[in-house]
Amino acid sequence: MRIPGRDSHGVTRRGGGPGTGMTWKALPAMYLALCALLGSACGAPFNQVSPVITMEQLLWVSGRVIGAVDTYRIPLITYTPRGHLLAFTEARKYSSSDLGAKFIATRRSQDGGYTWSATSFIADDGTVADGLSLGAVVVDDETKNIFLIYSLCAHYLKCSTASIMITNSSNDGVTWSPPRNLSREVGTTMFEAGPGYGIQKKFSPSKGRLIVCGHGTLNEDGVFCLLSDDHGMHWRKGGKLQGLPFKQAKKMGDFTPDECQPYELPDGSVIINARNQYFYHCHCRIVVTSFDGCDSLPLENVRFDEGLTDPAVAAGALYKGGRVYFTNPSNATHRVNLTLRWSFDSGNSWQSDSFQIWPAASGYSCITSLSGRVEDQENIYVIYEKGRKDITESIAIVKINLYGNL
Amino acid sequence: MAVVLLCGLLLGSVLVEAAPSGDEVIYMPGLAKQPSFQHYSGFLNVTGGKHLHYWFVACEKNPATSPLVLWMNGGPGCSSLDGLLTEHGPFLIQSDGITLEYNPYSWNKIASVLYLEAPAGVGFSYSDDKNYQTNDTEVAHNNYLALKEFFRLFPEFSGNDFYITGESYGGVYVPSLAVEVSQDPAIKLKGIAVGNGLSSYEGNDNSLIFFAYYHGILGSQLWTDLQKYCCAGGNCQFYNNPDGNCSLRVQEAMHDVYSTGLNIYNLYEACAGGAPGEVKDNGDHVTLYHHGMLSPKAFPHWHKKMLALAVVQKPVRMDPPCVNSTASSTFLNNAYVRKALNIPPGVQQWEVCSFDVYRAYGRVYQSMKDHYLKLLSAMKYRVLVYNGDVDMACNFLGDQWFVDSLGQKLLVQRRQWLYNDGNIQQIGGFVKEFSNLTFLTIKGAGHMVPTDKPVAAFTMFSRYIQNAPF
Repeated sequence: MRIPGRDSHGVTRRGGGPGTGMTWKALPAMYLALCALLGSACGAPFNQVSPVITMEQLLWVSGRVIGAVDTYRIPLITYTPRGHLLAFTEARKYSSSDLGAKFIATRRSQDGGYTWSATSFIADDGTVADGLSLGAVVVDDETKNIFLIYSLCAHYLKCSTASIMITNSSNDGVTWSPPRNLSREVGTTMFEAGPGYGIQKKFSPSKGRLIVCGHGTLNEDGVFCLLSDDHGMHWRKGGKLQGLPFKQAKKMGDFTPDECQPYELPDGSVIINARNQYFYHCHCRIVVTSFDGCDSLPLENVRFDEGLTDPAVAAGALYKGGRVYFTNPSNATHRVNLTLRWSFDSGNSWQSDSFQIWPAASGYSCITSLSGRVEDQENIYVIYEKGRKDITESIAIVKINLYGNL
Repeated sequence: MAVVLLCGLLLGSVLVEAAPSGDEVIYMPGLAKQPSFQHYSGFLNVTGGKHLHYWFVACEKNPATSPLVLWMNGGPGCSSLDGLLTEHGPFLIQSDGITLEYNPYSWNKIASVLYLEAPAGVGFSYSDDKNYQTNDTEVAHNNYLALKEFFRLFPEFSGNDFYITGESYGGVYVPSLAVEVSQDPAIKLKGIAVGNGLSSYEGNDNSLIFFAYYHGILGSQLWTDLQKYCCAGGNCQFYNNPDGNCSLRVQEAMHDVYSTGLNIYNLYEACAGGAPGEVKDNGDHVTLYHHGMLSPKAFPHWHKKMLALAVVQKPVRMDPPCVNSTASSTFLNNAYVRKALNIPPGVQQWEVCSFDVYRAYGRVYQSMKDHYLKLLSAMKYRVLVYNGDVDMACNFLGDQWFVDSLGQKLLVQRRQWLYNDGNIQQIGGFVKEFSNLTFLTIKGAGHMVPTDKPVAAFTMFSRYIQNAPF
């Protein structure tokens, strides 16, 4: 996975609109009604979403200038229990390849993204041929713990057993525990989390559950989730959405849900927005809904979101304040044109407006937001792979004010 | 036939142009098998009738494209051949003083290394007038001239990436030479690396007291007194403190560190030859066991004693304390070895450190901060400051303070770095990375890092040279 330039075939079949979708139109309507009752107290009306970038920084630059690391790729961003921001990325030591030895790099901001601590390397796989892969970060808001999940030996190069590793921070991301190997609990089937964030269920069913979704090897592939109902003490395998055909090498046009980002809606359902690796049905996103906290990801709950044209990439998605936000390089074949979209109906349809974050090379992205202060309601943070020519050039973070306020 | 002969002549002339064939070491005594790489030993002539001896070891693989590294040991007055024969050269001297064994962690596995004996008077280097009085600025300039002479003799290396490296008083030699080299666009300077370097007398002496106390060398009463007389508001000034009570306690502490028989180059190593006296009459000569690079001001009584020795009629040898250099000097003073290294008969006997050079040496710089800042301001040289962390001659803490004091932008926070020992990952030490500037420790190594921790040292060197993450 994560090989830029793989995405080249097929035609875009854009349009089609919602209607293939799920349930879930009631809540925005209720929200609207509520807002009407309360007047302006609800903040700006939906139609006033007009994003503006109020801050942008490069957190990492490739090219052996930061710790002599060749390439920084696969960025993650999360809020922290104390209301700060934490960014992570793979620091690929010797080349831009998915394989090879890496560090996990992190930086932390305590002022809403304006200043960032110097990079820390919190994991180091030495000089192995098939090193670590990020990964997902998940915050347990109840215990104020942060978990970071990554994989080892995801490509079976000069190693025979893949492992899922987990490390946690109970001090808001300042220090990290020695990593724990989850093989005993969840087995050694290759699983790459995210890349993105995991979620904690805020609504029933399974309120409090930690959910980390990811994907398997490219040959088998499919979306899988890891679940913990005891705040990260133990993990088990949850639902899976397998690729088709089963247990066979996939080829162009096959059904291969891949890298994915889950988010929860206020009715307790979990939406997983996944990369459509071999462009089954469309050059667009695969969306699957779970109504049981990701114990299952039923095939009948799968749809293809033709409103989200996609070149097969890891994208960002976030539910915030009654809206769903989505970022990806909006292009059927090339990783360019990082675009923010928003939906007033929980992702069933996307507003015709969109906001271009960066026109040139754009790769993986991840979204988070803060919620401690009033102004946090207006802002989201997007971290993404940014370049003039190649997506591997840098990792940038943008703070976006959703209502055009500076 | 004629054509073949002509070709041979042409080939010969090309070779002569590429490297001084007269300097090539054809047969190296002490080795069971001659090396696969070329190496050269000869003299670089600079102005004032100075002749600096060099030993140039080409890289084992692809010398044409491999980086070129200059190495300088310290003193002032000590020989870089010590680095070649006991630290990171292609073959290391064995205790019999006869045998050389190949070094699997030699720096010439990945770089061509130029070992330079400087200034004149050190090792086999000499000057026609035998006047060995010199100082920091003159040494930097003469080293630069020697380097230019090297590139004249070996023009095929002038396009290679070039690094200046050294140890100990090399902490002065390396950055001062680098500033001069950086003004010369003909030399492709890429960076400098300084191992257990003297960067600041003040920092070195101040940190040493902390190091000594927290490594169990100073007693608590002395520590309490040092705190009482030398420190105020959390800041301690042990170096040149005008308070008489303080300087008395500092002298006591320095005595405990330097004059009780501890191996100052590696606290946890035995002292070769047993705890030495400071001065030893060996009959035909007097040996002065002295660590060289330290501030004469910190040891007023020492300095007096040393000057007094200079008028003794017997020859004076200066040996670093607790380090046995007999094997190296036996080897290098062997007539066959001298001949192999192209040392003319008139040149003096080889000693690891030169008392004459040390005694008359003019220390110009109290701190190398300005040199580092000048190099860093060019924003293109990669600077590595590395320290074995159990050395007391130039302890890691002083250099850590020094690097922090340069005020460069922190890029990667202090962390441990790993190396493969067999198939097991071990922590090699700690590293903190600034913009173009890295401070790195080698855990458990003393002053001569590659001698003490060869695998870790080679890992560090190769990552630095290849600009790979530590």
